[in-house]
Amino acid sequence: MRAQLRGRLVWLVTGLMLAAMATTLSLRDADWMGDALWGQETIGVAQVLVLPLLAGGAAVVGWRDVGGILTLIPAGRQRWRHFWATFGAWAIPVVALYAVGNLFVIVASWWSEPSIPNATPWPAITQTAGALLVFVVGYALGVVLRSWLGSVVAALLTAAVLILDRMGAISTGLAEYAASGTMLGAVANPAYFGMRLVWMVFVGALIVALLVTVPRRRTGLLVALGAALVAGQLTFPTDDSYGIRPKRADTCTATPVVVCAPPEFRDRAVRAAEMAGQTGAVLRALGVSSPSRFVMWQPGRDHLDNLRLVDPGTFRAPLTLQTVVAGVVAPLSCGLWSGPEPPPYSWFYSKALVESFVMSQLTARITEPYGRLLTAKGAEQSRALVTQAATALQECDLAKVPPSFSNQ
Amino acid sequence: MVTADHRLAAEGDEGDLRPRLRDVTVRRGSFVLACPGWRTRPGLTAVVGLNGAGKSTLLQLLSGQLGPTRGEVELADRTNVLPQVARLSSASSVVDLYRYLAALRGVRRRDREPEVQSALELAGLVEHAVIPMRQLSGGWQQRALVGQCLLGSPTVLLLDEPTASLDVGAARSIWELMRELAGRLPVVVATHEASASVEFCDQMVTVQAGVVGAALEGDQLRADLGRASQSAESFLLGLIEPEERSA
Repeated sequence: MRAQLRGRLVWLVTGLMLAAMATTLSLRDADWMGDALWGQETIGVAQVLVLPLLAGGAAVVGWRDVGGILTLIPAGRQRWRHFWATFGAWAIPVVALYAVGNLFVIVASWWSEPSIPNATPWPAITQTAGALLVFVVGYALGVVLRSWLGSVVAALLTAAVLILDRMGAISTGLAEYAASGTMLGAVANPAYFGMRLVWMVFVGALIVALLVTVPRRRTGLLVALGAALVAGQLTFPTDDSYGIRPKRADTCTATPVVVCAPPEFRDRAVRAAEMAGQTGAVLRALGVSSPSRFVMWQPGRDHLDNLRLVDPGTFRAPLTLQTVVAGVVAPLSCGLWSGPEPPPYSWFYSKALVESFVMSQLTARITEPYGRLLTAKGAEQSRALVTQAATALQECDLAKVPPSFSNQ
Repeated sequence: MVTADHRLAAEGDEGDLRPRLRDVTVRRGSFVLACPGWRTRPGLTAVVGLNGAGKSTLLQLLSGQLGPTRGEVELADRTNVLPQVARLSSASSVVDLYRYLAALRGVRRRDREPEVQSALELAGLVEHAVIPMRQLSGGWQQRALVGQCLLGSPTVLLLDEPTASLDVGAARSIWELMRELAGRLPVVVATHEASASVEFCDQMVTVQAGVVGAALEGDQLRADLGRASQSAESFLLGLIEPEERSA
């Protein structure tokens, strides 16, 4: 193994993998930071770059070996030992890379605001196992194709498999969940991760066995490999990596407006409660009452009166007044928002109008579309229309939307 | 010209040496190799035949890489093989390569260094031990490849065309090395080289169109060559292509 570790290729490929992983993690201003599991799954996104690099490097090793050392060790046992030495030499930096990558996102998330403690070992385990499987596949392709072109084939094949798997065209168990937004409320499904792990180990073991077995004994192994690939298609057609099950009980702010959220969002909840109170006061001035209790938005809570204390796509983005106002003026417990058919345009216009009215009142700056209505109809008529729209939104009654909004 | 004098007794004193083949047939696609009997003997055994006659197939059969379609095969305990395609132009030095190969062949850690040094000495590579393989000339690389066959305490060496593509001097040096190794353990060499094989072998086995012939004794071959007043190539051709010659 020491001989292989002295080679330059393993370190070159590891460096490129690290660069690809770091680049992916830093994209979009590292918006995962604060959500450790999202960070872990961003490493899953990086697999599309990292694994083809690894497959290409492994294929170069296989190509060199088949024209070199393997010609001197035809015996299966010696090939087995050589493979393990080579595999071990590559596994050390690969395992270290994934360990460091996962630890980095966890530690970086600790130091962020907000920060949710949702890291789990499962994605790190399957990412590492997937990388080691890809090494085995790449190496095997290098051995079989006996050409440097094997590295191109291995890289393209790996990329294609990952992309097609993510698209749902095939199911291999290799592709990670690869989140594009917050993993708030998500809990790993150990059975699914475990099945993927077993599948990857099984497929990898079959390929290794094929590599070190004399040709006349390969038929059974090839049949088993084919069966394993088919089993993958049947076992992983849906990505059940995570379930939605908020683990941590909410804590709630004091009255008059109550906002309940997991403890790590306490500060945001207090600020949101204050903003919701101001919004409620504006609505009350119109003669419209609004809810006095909200929960923080999390997956599975779409049907409750919720406030987005975090942006699901930009975790560290600051809480804005506009977000809270939007949640208060149009309570999400209204079934129209989650019905089978989307509400009519007048409903969305009502929401936008009331939202802009409240924002205009709270910020002393006229915003649209309230500004246009004010210009067209005058203060008194505009206020009456806003009141009607706010009442319709709060009472979840489409019939109360001013008829003229249909023409807006 | 195969005469009764050339034939060795089927049962010799070295009955324990393996690999042994009995009534073996092996089929690879449309090619069939038939070996009525093979008994490994001490010393250097040259396996000669025309291209495609089945020499490499025979060596693969003897090493266990190929299984017989029919017949009985007894493999040696530890066979080290140098295939025709063997090459290793790595950045590793000769001694590092030997250490690694010794480890792969299961040599225990405490025995590894003495065995490596012994192989380097036997192969005459002590002064080249720290040179990376890729910096050695073709002849020295081949010497290193032959020398590595000694690692792992083999009971038999099977070398396939170890002197192919070497110049005369380098090839002769390899033959001398193989002759020396054959003093320690049975060495089987598949070769095209007529004069060297006759000069160095203790026995010769011909392979003609997929049929493995009986072993011919080296001393007798050399005596016959001396009497035949023909080139070694012509003499050998007479052994491996008798029908066409007589036609």
